[in-house]
Amino acid sequence: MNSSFSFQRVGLLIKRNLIEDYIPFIGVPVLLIIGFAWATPLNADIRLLVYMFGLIIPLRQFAPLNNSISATHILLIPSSNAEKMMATILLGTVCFVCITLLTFVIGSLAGTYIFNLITGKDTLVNWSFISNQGMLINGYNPISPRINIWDIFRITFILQNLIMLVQIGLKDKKLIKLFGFLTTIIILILAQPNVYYTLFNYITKDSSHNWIDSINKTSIPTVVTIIGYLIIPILWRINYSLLSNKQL
Amino acid sequence: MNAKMITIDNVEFTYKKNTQLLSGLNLELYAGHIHGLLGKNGEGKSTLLKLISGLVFPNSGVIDTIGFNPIKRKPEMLREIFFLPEELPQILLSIEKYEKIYAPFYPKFNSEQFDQYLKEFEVYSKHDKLDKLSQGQKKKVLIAFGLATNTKLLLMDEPTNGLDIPSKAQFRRMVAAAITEERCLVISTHQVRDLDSLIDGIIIMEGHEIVFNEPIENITNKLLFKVSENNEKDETVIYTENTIQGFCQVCENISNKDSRLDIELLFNAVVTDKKRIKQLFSK
Repeated sequence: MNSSFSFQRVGLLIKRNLIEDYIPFIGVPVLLIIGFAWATPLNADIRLLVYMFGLIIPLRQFAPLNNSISATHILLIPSSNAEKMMATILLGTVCFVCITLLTFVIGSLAGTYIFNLITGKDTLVNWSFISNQGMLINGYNPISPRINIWDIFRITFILQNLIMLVQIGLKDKKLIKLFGFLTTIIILILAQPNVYYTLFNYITKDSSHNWIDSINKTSIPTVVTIIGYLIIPILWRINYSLLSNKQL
Repeated sequence: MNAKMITIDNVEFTYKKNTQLLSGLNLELYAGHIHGLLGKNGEGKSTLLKLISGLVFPNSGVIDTIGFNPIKRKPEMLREIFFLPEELPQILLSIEKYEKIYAPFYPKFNSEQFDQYLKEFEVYSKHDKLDKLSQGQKKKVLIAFGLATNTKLLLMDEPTNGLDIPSKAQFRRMVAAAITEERCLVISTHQVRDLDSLIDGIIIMEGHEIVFNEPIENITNKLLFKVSENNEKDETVIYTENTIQGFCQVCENISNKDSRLDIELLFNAVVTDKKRIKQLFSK
C-alpha cells in the first residue's frame, strides 16, 4: 500500500462503511423489498422509490463532513481523497444497483404471490422494469415513454452526486443545502424523457408550431440520455475536487 | 540531530476575512521529542495542529509535515500521523471493532501494545461500545490506539481533559515510554501541570504567533525558578507571582544554578514580558 491509490485501501474504506454505518445497508434492502412487493403487482410508478433509497447511502457517506468533529475523523483516515471518493461511488453505484436488482426480484416475486393469494387472480410477475423494452410509467397514458431500469439508475446517480456536491461543497448552510437539493430534484424530475415527450406532444398539437415537426421526435430523449450519462463522471470529478479542497 | 518532522515557514492563516488568526508563523520540530504547545484560549493552538495535519490550509507560507505537503492529505502522510482532537467524534463501534476497522490503515499498528495500553488505563473489556463509554474512557481508548499506531507524528489536543487523576499520571508514564528517536509528539494543553516532567520542549503562542520555542534544557540553563520570602526586585527578576508558598520568581540564571522548571510560571513570564525573554534566548 505504498502508492497514492490502492484498491486495498478502497476495500478497507468500504468495509469501514459497511460495518460502522450498517443501518442503511440493512434498512434500504428491506424497505425496497416492501416497496417493490407493493408496486410491481399494481404496476405502480417505482421511480420515486429508487430515487429515494438511492440517496440514502451517499447521503450518509459525506454527512459527517458537515460537522467539524466527525469531519476531522473522516478526513484523517489514512487514505487518499480519490480512494474515499471511489469507495463512496462504488457503494452508491455498484452496491446500490446490486441491492436494487436483487430486491426487485425478491419483492416482485413475493408481492405478486401475495397479490394472487389475496385477489385469487393468476397474474404473472411483471419483469418489464428490468427487461430491455422497459416498462410503461403510468401505463394508462398513451404518450408515456417506456422507462428502462437504467434510465432510473442514471437519474439516481445524478441525484446522488448532487447531494454529495451539496454535502461536501457547502459548510453549515443547511437551509441553502435543503433548498438547493429540492430545486435540483424538481429540475431533474421535470427533465426526464417522458416529460419531454409530454411537452413535445402538447406543443406539436398546436399547428402554429409546425417548425418543430422538422425535428426527429426521438432525438430529444436520446440527447437527454447521452447528456445524463456524461454528467455523472463530470459530477464525480467535481465532487473529488471539492473533497480534496475540503477544510474544517 | 534527529529527523526534522515539521517545518512551518512564514505561515499566515485566517478563518474569516480581516481577522488574522495566525501570522508569520515559523516552527521546526524534530523527532525524539515531546513538545508542549501552550497558549491562551483562542490563540490558535488547535488551528496550528489542524494546519500540520492538513485539516485546514494556510493562506500563505509553507508547511512540511514529515516530508509531505499536508494539504494533499496523502495516505503516505496520514498513516504516519495520529491526531487526537479535543472533542471526540461519535463512534458507534465496540473497541474491538474499532481496532479491526482502523488498525489496517496504520501499517505499524501493534495490537499487543494496544491491549497493554488499555490494560494500563484500566479499560478491560474490548466489547464495550465506544459511544456508551464516558468521555474520559473514550479518550483513554483513543490515546491507547494512537500510541499503538506507532506513527511518526502524534498530535494531541488537550489529551488530559476528562481524565481522572490516576489516569493523568498513567498517561504521562505511557507517553514517556512510547517516545522513540523516530517519533515526535506535540501536546496542546491548558493544563500545564499535566505535562510536568513529560515534555522536553515548550512552544508558547501569544498574539497569534509563536513567541517561544525552546527545549527544557535551554530553559533551565537560562532561567532560574525560585521561591523567596521577600519580593526581591533586582535586575535579574523577570516575573514574580505572589503565592501561599511565597514569591515565585522567574529570573535570569546568571549564576548557572540548577532549578526545577515551573511551566505555569514560565508561561506567565513569557506572556508578560515576551520581549525580554526573546532577547535572553537569542543571546
